[in-house]
Amino acid sequence: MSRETRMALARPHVRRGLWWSWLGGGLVYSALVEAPRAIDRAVGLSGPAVPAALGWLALGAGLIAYRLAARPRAGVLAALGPLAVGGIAPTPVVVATALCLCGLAGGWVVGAVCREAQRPAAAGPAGAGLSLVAAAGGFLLIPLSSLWLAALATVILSSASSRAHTQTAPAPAIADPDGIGVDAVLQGTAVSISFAARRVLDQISITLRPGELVALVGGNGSGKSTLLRVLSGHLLPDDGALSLRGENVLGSSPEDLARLGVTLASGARPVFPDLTVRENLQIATWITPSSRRERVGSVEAALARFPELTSLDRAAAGTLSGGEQRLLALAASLIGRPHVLLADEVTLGLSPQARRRALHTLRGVADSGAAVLVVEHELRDLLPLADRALVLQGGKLVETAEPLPAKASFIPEVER
Amino acid sequence: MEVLPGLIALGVVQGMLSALFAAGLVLAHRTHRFLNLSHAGLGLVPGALVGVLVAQAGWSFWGAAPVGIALGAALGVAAERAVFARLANAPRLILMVGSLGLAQLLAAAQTALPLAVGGIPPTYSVPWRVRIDIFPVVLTAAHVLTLIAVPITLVLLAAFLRSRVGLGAQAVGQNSERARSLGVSAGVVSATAFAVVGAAAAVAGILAVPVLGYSLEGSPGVAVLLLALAPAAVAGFRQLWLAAAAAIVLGVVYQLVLWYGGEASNGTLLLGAVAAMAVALRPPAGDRRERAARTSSWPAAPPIRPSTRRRSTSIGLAFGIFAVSAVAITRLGPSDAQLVATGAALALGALSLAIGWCLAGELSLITWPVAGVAAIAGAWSGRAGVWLAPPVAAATGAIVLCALGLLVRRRGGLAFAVVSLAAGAGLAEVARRTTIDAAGLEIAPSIAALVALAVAFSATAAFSVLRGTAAGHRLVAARDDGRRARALGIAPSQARLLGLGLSGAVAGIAGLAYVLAVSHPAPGAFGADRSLDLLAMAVVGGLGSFWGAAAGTATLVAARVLLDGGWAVLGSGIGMLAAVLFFPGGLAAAAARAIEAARR
Repeated sequence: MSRETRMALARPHVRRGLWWSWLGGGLVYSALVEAPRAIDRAVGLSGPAVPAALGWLALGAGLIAYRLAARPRAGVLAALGPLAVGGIAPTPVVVATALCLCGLAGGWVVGAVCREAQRPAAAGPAGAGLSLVAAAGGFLLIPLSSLWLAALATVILSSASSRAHTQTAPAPAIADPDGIGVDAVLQGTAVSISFAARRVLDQISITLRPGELVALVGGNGSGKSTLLRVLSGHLLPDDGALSLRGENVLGSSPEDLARLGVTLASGARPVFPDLTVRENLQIATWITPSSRRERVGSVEAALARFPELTSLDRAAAGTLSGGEQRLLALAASLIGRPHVLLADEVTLGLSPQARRRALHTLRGVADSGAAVLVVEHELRDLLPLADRALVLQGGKLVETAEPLPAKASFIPEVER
Repeated sequence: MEVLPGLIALGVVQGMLSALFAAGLVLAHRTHRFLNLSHAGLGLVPGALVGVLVAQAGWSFWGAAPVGIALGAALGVAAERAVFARLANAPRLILMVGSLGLAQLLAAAQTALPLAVGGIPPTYSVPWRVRIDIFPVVLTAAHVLTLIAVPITLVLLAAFLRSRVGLGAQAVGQNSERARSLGVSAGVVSATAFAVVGAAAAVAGILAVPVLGYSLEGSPGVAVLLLALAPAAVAGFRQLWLAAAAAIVLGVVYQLVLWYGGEASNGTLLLGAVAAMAVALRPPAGDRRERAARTSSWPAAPPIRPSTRRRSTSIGLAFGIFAVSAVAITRLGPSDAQLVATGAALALGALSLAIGWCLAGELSLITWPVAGVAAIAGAWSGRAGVWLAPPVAAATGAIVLCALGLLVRRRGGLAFAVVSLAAGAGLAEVARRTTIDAAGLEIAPSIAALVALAVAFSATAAFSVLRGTAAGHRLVAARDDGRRARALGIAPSQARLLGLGLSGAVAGIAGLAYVLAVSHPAPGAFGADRSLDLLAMAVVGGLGSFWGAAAGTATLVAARVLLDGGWAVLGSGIGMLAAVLFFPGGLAAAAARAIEAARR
């Protein structure tokens, strides 16, 4: 599968478009072949009006859904399908035309998405081909009498399309003028993302190396948490590249990245509130390929590392204070021994002593060889421990000074 | 009164079947945090399949049962992947609505399956020579198999919840983002959890056919739903074994009520009361626990459409439509005029639901029984003077919904929906047993249609205006975030009660309009199942919009006219699912988008 095709598949809109192309193909079959037969058998009604009306109804419904699920403008083109089918007898030419329209519409969607994301134009034809194949597959696999087969194929197709984009591949060549990324473990290049009309991250390039603790600072709304969510796979950027140890991981799911060693510890909604503290830690052993005894040992070690949690191990995590919940989140994140730890305000609400201890724990994680990126508002305790500090302002990385961003205007004098 | 041991044994068997359904509700709630109303359907379709395989294809029961259980698991996975996983960013109440649509599809499938392959009723017995006489009942092999299979299934369910995958599924339900950050495969564990839910439901459904008999009606009925819902509510939708124990106790009590209490509806009333009391008497959680209980991967607050500044345009357009409709009504025959009047009454019912959702943040599954009780009060007071009927009906509706709101005060989440579902059965029974004397309210069908339509349009316009005023903003603020609203000086409990009261008042007027439309409502005309129809109308139109309720009603009433019984249920189910999956804002949002696009 070419990179363009993979990039196209990484877009949720494209995957939805393919799904609808497939369903559209199936609807063509149902409308033209099976439904008239069924109606003829049931009520003895037949004639050219039946396939025509059903063609209109079925394709119209499928393509309206296509329009809403994929891209609005695609619906205009796709709506030509019913025009081609309506009023014409189900001949091979009509079927082929309708299938081509489904494929063209899907390809048009892919092309539009790629243009918006400034992807190579080749993704458009690749998507069109995929879409045509999907429509043909739907035509063959979704006869009205075998809906169970259709359901099965839907599950397989959707899971295959969502898995396809998680496969890793050699990363594209990334410009690295400073040579900082030579030994990078995680590297994001020219990452951009917008929410509605607002550009939240604008061409951000960031490199994390093993054994370093990087402080990411910035004012409210500067894009810190968004950047961490992009790096951990929770958000797919509109543009840019993301690589882990030289492998392209753009479009990988958060769980796949977690298995590869990238863990996000977020201070917002940090725990599973109805599970006990111990069960929260057990969940964190999900990706450790070890025996049950070893997993229990990991949980005990985590509790020993944070003695505040030891006496609470049977309590529901939702009943802990905010600070205790964040400590628990940090303890859980460390169980999997991540290669890259992205910590988003994990010390918010902790007492000064607990905060210092948590930050020293993060320093220890970095010293053990992991890359740690920490987002904090309280910088007094963090900056002395950090190897580098990055400053985000208005979605742009404005400073990459090492080790202290003394010129960052938003940092209060007392924090510098 | 002598309690016969055979009745207790029969009650235990039926209670065990309910225990499996209740355990499934608990499991689905713990892993997905919503009330899965399609749960019984997941079991009844495999039951029908086993019946078809045994009765028509000549399979052995022991060969067909595993196939049925596999179908249940597959249906569970399909439901999770095709519906619930797609609603990952929707409020939990929307998930419940989605499960309701799914339940209707499964009901249609259960009915259609035997008809599609020969039409022989899919009944069967368990081929095992067992017969135990306990006066006054005879326990057969199916009963004994239930006594063996259900505890085993419950143990397996409990083991699943404590297993790694079970814990993962619960984690995904509570905080999907965090779980995925820790490497939990959200899709796999959620689908596995629903496979287990579906398989457990299938075991219950397969055993239910020889024990309780097969019903061609499709939908499992209020009593079956309450037999599972009440124990699950007693267990707070959390404790599996408590739910199972409560189900067995309730099964025995239900059986005794059936035997000694005469009417089956008395048992339903009892179950409804138990479910409502279980939710109402549960002590309110502390602040942190309450927040924890509200936390899940799905947002709790349902979305509503923002108020716009172009109210005058939309209201003018609506009254234009009303004027055209009024002219058209004068040319209709009596039966068509009656249809329009009935549709307008249903539109008011759907409006009541939308008001409860938009202004109080609660989903009422009791709208139509409330309308029935209010109509009784209105019709009764109408004998003293026709002008008295509307205020009395409105006040009755408002009082009933406020009383329910007070019962579940400070409980949040799905508490009101559960209590309204339970109380709805009781109110529907009250409405069924009371003859509505509409002697003072009889008018010509065309006049009734005009009046009902005018009231529906006026009420919709009035609430659209209210939504945009300062009072409306206060109600919405209290509904969206009670803690912040309290900090701004708004009492969230009072605001919520006011919203529910307004919703109840409109439901009362809807009931009266219905009596005007049909003159002499049949017993059962205000049944609880009609509330689900109203929900479908409100969802298809767009729950967050008052005008959407009217549009949804018009659409589904037209569909009902064009389609006959079974197809109508199927259409309603598909409509609801399509609405929540593809048109989350319903017709109203689609229209708003079209208008916005046209303006651009």
